Amino acid sequence: MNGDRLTRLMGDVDDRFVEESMEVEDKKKDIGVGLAVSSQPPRSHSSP
Amino acid sequence: MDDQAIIDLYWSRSERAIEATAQKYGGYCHTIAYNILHSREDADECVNDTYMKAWQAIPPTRPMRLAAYLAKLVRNVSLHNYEKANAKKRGAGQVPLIVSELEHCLASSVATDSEVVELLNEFLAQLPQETRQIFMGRYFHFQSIKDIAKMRQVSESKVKMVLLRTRNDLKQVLEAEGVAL
Repeated sequence: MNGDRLTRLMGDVDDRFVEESMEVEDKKKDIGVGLAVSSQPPRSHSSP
Repeated sequence: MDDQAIIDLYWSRSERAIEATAQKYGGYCHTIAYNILHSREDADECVNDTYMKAWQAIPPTRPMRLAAYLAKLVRNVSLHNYEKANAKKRGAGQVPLIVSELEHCLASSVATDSEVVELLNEFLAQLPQETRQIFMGRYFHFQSIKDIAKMRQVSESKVKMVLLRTRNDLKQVLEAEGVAL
């Protein structure tokens, strides 16, 4: 139950932490991790 | 397209807003949804729902950070759909693992959601950047241990160790603040 709550509340943390980890998402794409979404439109949010 | 220009499209009620959002952030949103749902079709559906929610919310909302705003929207939509689909059973994918990992960090508590989120923000702010990114990758973006290790070019055991130590630290912080009873 509390794991569910904490998982949900992690979705409300400060935007800057989300953006910071997005930069890593970009890097992940560069090295080919997460190919399950390779058919999706390219992302170009390097400087949101 | 610049984020501000996209938000202006929403405010002018131009349907190009959704097109621009999909072009710039569609892949990112789909990654989050897929990490949670492990189904391309379900992820597509959640991403489309996210666009609709953004369309309904902007205006009056004017997000300061559009990317983070969309990330939170698609995360919430996807988790909601996941919970609906798995009301009786735990499915595959990262969600049950992540819920289980976080289970012991927060004991039964009377603290409000906003109080817990404030503590989470304080906790995240004091972490070393790499640790914070690993933690957010796992517990915000629902990345697998394997993906985090591959992306960072470190061993999976190292990622597991970082996450374990960080969860233990978080538990101590929450307990020290009286959140965990």
